[in-house]
Parts: sequence; structure tokens; C-alpha cells
Amino acid sequence: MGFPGLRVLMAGFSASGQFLKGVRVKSEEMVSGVESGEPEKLLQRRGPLDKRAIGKESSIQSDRFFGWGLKGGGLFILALFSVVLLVCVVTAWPSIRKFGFSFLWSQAWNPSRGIFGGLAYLVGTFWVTGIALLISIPVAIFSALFLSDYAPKWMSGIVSTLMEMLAGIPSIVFGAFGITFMVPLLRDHLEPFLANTLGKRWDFFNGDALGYGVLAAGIVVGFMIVPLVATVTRDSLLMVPQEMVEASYALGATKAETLFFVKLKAVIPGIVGSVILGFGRAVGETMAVLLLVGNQASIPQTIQDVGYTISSLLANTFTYAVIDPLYAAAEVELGLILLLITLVVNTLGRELLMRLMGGRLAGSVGGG
Amino acid sequence: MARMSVASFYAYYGENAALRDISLEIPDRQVLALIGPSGCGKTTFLRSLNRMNDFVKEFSIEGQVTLDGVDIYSSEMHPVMLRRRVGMVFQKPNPFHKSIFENVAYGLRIQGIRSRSILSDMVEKSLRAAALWDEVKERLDSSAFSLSGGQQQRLCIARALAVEPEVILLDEPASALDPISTSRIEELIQDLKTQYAIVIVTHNMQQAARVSDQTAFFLSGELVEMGETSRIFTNPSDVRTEDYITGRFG
Repeated sequence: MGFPGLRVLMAGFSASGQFLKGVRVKSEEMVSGVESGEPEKLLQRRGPLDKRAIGKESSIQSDRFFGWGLKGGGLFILALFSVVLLVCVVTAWPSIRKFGFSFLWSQAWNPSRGIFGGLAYLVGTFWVTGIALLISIPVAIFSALFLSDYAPKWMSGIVSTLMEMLAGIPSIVFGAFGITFMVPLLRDHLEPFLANTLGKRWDFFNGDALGYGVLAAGIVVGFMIVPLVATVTRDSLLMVPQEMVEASYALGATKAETLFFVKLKAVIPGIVGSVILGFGRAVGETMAVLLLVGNQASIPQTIQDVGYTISSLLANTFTYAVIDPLYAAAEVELGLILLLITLVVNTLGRELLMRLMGGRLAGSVGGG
Repeated sequence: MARMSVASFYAYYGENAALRDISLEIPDRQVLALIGPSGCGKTTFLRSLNRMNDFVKEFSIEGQVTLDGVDIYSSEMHPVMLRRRVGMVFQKPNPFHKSIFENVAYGLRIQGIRSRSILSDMVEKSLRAAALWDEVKERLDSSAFSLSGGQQQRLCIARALAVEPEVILLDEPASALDPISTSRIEELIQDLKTQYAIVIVTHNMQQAARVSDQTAFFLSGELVEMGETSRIFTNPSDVRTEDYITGRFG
């Protein structure tokens, strides 16, 4: 393990070890300070009223322990994030150093010759994510509106339960559904239809009907994130204060006007937040995409084309890539890029929210 | 002259009668105060005047409420049209998640008014009428939630005025506000009654005495008596009214 960053890692560990030791010493002092003398003797000596005092002391003490416990939990998250990030950077370093920024716009990927460029995988990932979001956002928002405001109670109960079950289906099952249902449907009907209609005007839609490809993967991933976006949006809609809705009706607004101009406006933070979650899910989705996208490292030219995404590449090849440090480095660098993109999208989403809400989120519903 | 009149009006939540046999007239260009202990039905009555109770499940009515002679519960008047003519301000300030300008412009926009110049004229006029213009004219584009509670309530009044209603219903409009904001709202009500018929629900007897011309006393879903405010407060004809306004219960 000759990684240059490893020493930094170890130093970090020993520093935190010392910190923990410090905490332990302090806590020992605490314990001995309180428990000097047998508790029962103390009770006898002090009389019945002091029982309460002793109880109080021990509850103050346990309060402190509780605080440390919580602090420990928080520090663990911090440590875990740092370690994961550090390990990724350290592992990816050979590739970062060797290829620099050209890694982002080179399409050459040749493990046997030690040449790596991630463009095809990045583009493939964006195709799948983009199609998934385009499909899922409108569907999710409409179903959330239906569930919160239009569906009769019994129906919204059933549909909500089904939606939550849908969110719990393992992605491999969605992948299998995609292969047995979506791929034939796309190959025999939808893709030829697109090519014969929109494809006559735009080459973008005029590809070979293969069934497998970015469209199939995007549609199925879209299905997978509909429940996520719809559930968060519905919950936000249900939390819009009744007074605000009544204010709109009292001005002579119809139901649809109230829904679109008042309720939807109030839940924008919730929708943006859920879309960011959905984006994260779509970008990282592995198994369903692996089964559907075609796994061919070329840049898709039409919506019917096959492609390859970062997550499915890693799932397919990382077990043997790990033998060659440069190969592993290139793959982990792709993973890092994925992580960075998610972070950037998160930050931009927050920024967008602040703009939309005029710099204030007070009184709005749902988190960003 | 009566703007709205109510005849033998009954309101039910499910089987329970919340209002029984209410008959009264709402005079134009005057303030009518509805007083009574909690749960006496005065808010239910107020919300029946612009059909806001339609959204309450199991709510039903009997009897008649008319606006300029037209039964508001008949098919001759759509609730949406009714609410444009009978505006309402609620107990808690409830601005929309929009800018100050857009809050006031909302009612006009949904009526299809697009012209920016008409909108800004109307918004300014309404904000002036609600005595808020000078405080917000510099920041019409900032969020309505950046205003104080009292300002938000005046914004809600401006929003109700913008659609040029004929009757304004106020449901304890000052109960969530501090004394200074309250007195501003009360002054505002005095100004507004020169143009509108105003009905105000209040728990505050002094407020009723200060702002209203007519007072109606509700008890357990019934209208005990109604008359000139000065007479109700000095010489009530029903002993229950006297007990209530002298603070013996409620």
C-alpha cells in the first residue's frame, strides 16, 4: 500500500485517538468525583431529603454522558465522510496526475495500454439521468397534486401505499421488468414510432430500434424515482396551511387557480429538494441501468442509442480493475466526479431556492 | 339600506345545529360587529356569508342569505363570483409565498388582468387604502414574509380590497396583533366603512364598541339581539346581553 496520502490518513487517525483518550480521561475524573463513597452510606448519612439530591447528581452526570454519546455520533459521520473522500482521492490520484483535465474530454479507454478518458461514461450518465428526470418530474408532480387535492380519501390511501411499496422495490427487479417489458415495447413500437415521426425532422430521434439503450434505462430509472419525488411533493402539499388556501378562495380563485398559483408556489422548496434527491438517485442508479443501457462505451448520438454509465461501468469491471492501480484509479476518479457533480447540484439547488424564495425560506413548506 | 340580508338561517355540522334561526340585515357603509362567547357560532355565521364553509365536510344550511336580493346559495350566484364581491380577512395574517406586490395583485391576476400599469395602479391604491403604502413602497418586490405581523395583516386587507369587493368580512382581524397594530387596523376600518359594508367578528368588547355602528350578540348558535352599538352597550334589551357585556360570563 504505497499511497502517498496514507500517512496523512494514519496521522488523522492517531490525532482522533488522542482526542478520544482525552475525553476518556475527563470522563473518568467525572465518575470518580461523583461516586466518592458508597452510595448507601451516603444515603444514611444525609437523610431522606438528600436522596433527591443524589438522584439529581446522577441525572446531571448521565446528561453529560448522553451529550458525549451524541457528539460521538456526529463525529463518526464527519470521520466517515472524510475517510471515504480521502480513500477515493488517494486511490484516484495516479489517474488524476497522469491525465489531468483531459480525462474529462477524452473518450479513449484502453486498460491494456493504460490510457483512460471518461467522456463516454460521463455523457452516458447524463443521458440516462436527464431522460429519467424529464419523465419523472411531471408525472410525480401531477400524481402528488392528484393525491393531495383531487383523489377521494380511499383512493389516495391505496395509491399512496402502492407508491411507497414501489419505492421499496429492489432496483434489480426494475431492471428485470425493463428487460422483459420495456425493451420489447421500445424495440417493436415506441422507438420505430419516434424514428418515423420526430425522427423525420430531427436526427436526434432517428436511431436504430434496439430496445436496449439510454432511453430504456432512462425510462426505467425515471419510474424508479417517481415515488420519491411524488411522496415528498405530496407531503409538502398536505402541509400547506389551510389558511393560505382559504385566502386564495376568499379572493374568488377557483380550485385549479389555488392549486397552481398558491399551493404549488408554496411547495417549491419541497419539489426542488425532492428533485435533487431524485437526481442523486438517478445518477448513482446501478443495477437497473446495467441491465438496460447496453454497456457500450460510445457517446449516444440519438435517443435510441446504447451507452454506458459510470455506475454500471464500475459494477461491471471494478473487481478486475482493482488489480491494476492505474485502471482502478481511473474508475475511482469517475466515481469522484459523480460525487462532485452531486455536491454541485445540491449547492446549486439551494442557491436556486434562495433566489426563488426571495432570500427567505420562512414559512415555506418542505426542505431543500 | 341593507346590502346583505339573512332570513331564518340554520347551519349544521353533520347533525349538530351551529346556528339556529338567524335573521338580520347587513347595512351598507356601516360596521356590524358580531360578539359572543367562543363557540357561539359567530365565525360560522361570518363564513356562511361568503360560502367559505363549503370546504367543511358535512356542513349544510337551511334558510336564505341574499346579496343585493340574490340568494347566494342558489345557482344564480357561483361561489367564485360571490367571493369576489364579498371579501374576507382572516384571524391570522395569511399572505402568500409571493412578493408584497404579487400578494395584492393575485386577486386581479386571477380575474385575467394582465396590464402591468393597471396592476400597479390597483396595487398602490389598495396598499394606500390599507395604510401600508408608505411602509412598503420601497420594497414591493420583497417577500411578504419579511413584513411584521401587523403589516402582514394590513397586506391581507389590501389584498382583499384590491378585487374591489362590496362587503368585507373580518374574522377577529386584530386578535393576533399588538396594541399599536390593533389601533391602526381599527382606524383603517373606520376609513373603509365609507365605501364598504363591513362585518367584523371580535372577542374584544371595547373594540366592538369603538369600531362598530351595529352590534349583534350571538349565544349558543342563536342571535340574542342586534341593534345600534351605543344602545346594545348602554341599554341592552335582553338580560343575557347585559350579562355578557358586563363580563358576568364568556
